[in-house]
Amino acid sequence: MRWWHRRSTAATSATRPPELLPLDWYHKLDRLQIGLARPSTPRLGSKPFRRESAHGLEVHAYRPYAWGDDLRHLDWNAYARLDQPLIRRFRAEQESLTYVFVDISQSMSADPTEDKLAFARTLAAGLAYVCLRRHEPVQLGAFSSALPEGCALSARWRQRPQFLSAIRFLSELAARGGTDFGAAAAALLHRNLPPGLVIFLSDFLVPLEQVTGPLRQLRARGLAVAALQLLADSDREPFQGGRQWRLRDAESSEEREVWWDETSRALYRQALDRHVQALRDFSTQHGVLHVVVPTANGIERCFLETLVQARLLC
Amino acid sequence: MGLLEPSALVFASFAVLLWWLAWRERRRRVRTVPALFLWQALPRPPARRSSLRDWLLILQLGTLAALVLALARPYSEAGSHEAGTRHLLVLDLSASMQAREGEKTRWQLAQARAREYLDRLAPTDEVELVGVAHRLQVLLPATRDREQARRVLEDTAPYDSESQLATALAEISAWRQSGSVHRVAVFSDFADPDLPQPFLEQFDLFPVGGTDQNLAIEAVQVTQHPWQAPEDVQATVHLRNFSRRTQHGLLSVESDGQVLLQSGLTLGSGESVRVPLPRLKKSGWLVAKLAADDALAADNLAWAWVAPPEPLELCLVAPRQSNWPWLRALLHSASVLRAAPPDCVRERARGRTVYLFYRTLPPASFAAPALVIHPPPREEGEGGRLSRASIADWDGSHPLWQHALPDLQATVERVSLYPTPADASVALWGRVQERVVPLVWSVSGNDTAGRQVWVAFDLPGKLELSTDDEGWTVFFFETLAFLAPPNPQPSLWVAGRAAPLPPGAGATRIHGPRQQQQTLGPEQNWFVPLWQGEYRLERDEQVRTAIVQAARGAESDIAPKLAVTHPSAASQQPARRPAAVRPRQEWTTWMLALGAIVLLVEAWAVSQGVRWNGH
Repeated sequence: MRWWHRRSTAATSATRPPELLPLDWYHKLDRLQIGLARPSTPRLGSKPFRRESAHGLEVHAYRPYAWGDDLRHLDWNAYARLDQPLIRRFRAEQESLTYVFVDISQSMSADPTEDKLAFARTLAAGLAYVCLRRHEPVQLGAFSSALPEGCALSARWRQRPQFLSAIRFLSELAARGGTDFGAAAAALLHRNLPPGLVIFLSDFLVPLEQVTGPLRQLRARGLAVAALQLLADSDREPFQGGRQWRLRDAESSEEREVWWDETSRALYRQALDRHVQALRDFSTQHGVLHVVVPTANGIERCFLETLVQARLLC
Repeated sequence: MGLLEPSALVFASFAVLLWWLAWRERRRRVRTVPALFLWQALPRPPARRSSLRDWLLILQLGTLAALVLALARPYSEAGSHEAGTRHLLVLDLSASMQAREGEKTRWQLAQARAREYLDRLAPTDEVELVGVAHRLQVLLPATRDREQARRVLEDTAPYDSESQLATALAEISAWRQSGSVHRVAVFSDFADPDLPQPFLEQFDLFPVGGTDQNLAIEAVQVTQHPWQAPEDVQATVHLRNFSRRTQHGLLSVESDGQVLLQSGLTLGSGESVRVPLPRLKKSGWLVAKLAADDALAADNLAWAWVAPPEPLELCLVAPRQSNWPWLRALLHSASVLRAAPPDCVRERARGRTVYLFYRTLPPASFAAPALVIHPPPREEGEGGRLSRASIADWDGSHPLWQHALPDLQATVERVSLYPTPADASVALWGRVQERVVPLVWSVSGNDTAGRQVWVAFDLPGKLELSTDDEGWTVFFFETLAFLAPPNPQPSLWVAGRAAPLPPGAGATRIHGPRQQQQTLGPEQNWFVPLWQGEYRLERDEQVRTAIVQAARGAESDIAPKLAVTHPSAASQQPARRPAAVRPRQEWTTWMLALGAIVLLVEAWAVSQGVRWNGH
């Protein structure tokens, strides 16, 4: 192998994006878009000078000329034809921002055989691609109590080529700390970010009061919120056998011994179902889209079935 | 407490394996979950079950500990340590300890080692001194008085006797096993080749000496019949070089103060030589002296006694005279009379006379020493004779065998069946098929003048066969000596061996060659001389002289046999502060039983645990 060939190979590997999504997946994602109704905002650069008008190319309406109107907006053709001065009103270009927040707490990697964090990263990458494919701005974030201020936000991307940056951001995420929805909500609220759709990718296996407060605040600010609850099989069926187990909390390292039998299994399933149902009830009441995503179904069924059926994608 | 196999403790490392397995099992049972709040409603495991698992591990470790201890063979020692340790110092007092090692003797080296040993003992320790030569001898009973021990050590000197170290060590080993002695230190040259290794491994050995240079007189051999003149005596001096290099020496032999022989000798390594002496002129003591530059001087001196002539007359009575040549060939110096029975009997009482009746009977009430050989049977014809008889048994306490029990050939021919008188003492029995018949018996054994010995078979036929029948020849001479005892001979004894005292009723006063005096009670009929030289024995106002020779043979081979082979001999250091050694009681069986019990308890606990699981 010649030296330049080697250098060429090294350059290729350095620029190659981490493979969060299989290459044959991109053409499947090309057909999807965000289907959830979400608040929009004028596109950057198209902000109106006054409340009732804005710069733009698309004529929104006409109204009779009044004193003080900008003569640049006078429709001279209509005045010549109708002999009536009419002022053109333009509509500013709207865009809807999508925030994808990934829970990188230790609970997402509690079971190494079923890494929910890896699933969440892939899912976030797919959602970012769906947005960028249609030039919709997207901003990724990760929240955990181990992060500074509890949350890390990426830049806001609009261009499709910027998907590579999104992939790199997601690839650097590693499980750490505990779940902190409040920090994620505060990052949005305190930074006065534009409204849009906030998608949380988490297992939501925290006490419900730690979730409801931040979600309620986001909804109060007019943001659309989708809670994608990733549940692995091990969350539903933790043990295949054994009698006595010592459980260790992935985030707090607190331990507790349990006696595992049919009764215990039923009690655990009941507690899990009750928790999921409570989150669903809360979401229904507050207009939050709550979707349970079984990670065992795979990422393809998640995109093409689960999220489509939940109308997050269409 | 101690362990006989401490290397078995290596198996205790299996405890780490057990603990690791238990830890691994516990760790395998730890599961990391996303959150614990979902599990709050689940019941906790029964505390009994958790503690049971800990107890199972403890029981497993207990079983392992018991098995490992059983393999290690623990033992305990009886007695209390508060009394200190009892040390037994075994001192070799045999002749080989007189060997020179440079400027000092082996005994002096052993004394120095023993003094060092004593200096290192703790004040609470007891010490006991024993000497080993021909027997085990307690020199000092157990005491804590070090000065007394040192005095006894200084006052003790090796003897000229042989060493019975192997036997003594066996006995001391028994003492040690019984707990009366805790630690044994042996100070010896270990020249005995038959020392038992198992015993030696129990003791602290302090070997002294290393030379093997010794040229020794093994023996002065004098071949003399009881009635043989000194001029016909054959005497030989046996010499041997026990060292590994050539030795030179000057041998001189004196007889009654006159030098018989002076000869220079050169002997190679391990070589032995027999030096015949010239024709002797008179009876008396033969003294052989060897002048050589060797280590041991005790075996360079030897004595032998040449008895004065004591003619014996044999009066032969036989129906025919054709059988006399065998007797003439046997008895060179005895005067043999040929006489018909009436004449012979008529000529009796001429000095020392023994009557020999061959195939005829002595007259009735015959009261002179007589040997009756092959007497005619009382019954005529075949009923009174047996053709062949084998030796069945003999009376070992019979006076006939007082000097030697000859190696008699198994069968005799032509046995006469002659009834033994009531006062007869049978010395030898024969067996013909299932019938036991007397072959040799004596009559009037206590009366020296009238004792008779009857031989029921044809003894000359056995004597004529060949020189292989030495047993019967010895028997014939012993019988003559029994009938006509020779005069008492001067005593020639060996140091370290029991010697009979002169008969008497009073106490015996003994003057030894080293100016030592000893008085033995009237009941004592023997004593053991310890040094070579002349002893003077006084009893009932009678004085008797005895010559004692140094033990030789194994004692002359002074080369140490333990130099490198024994591990404890390699450490020439004086005894460290020794640990107490007490009679051991092994606990191996108890450990095995304990392990089995713990195992059963564990099995029971497991079965109970399974029941709890089911519950």
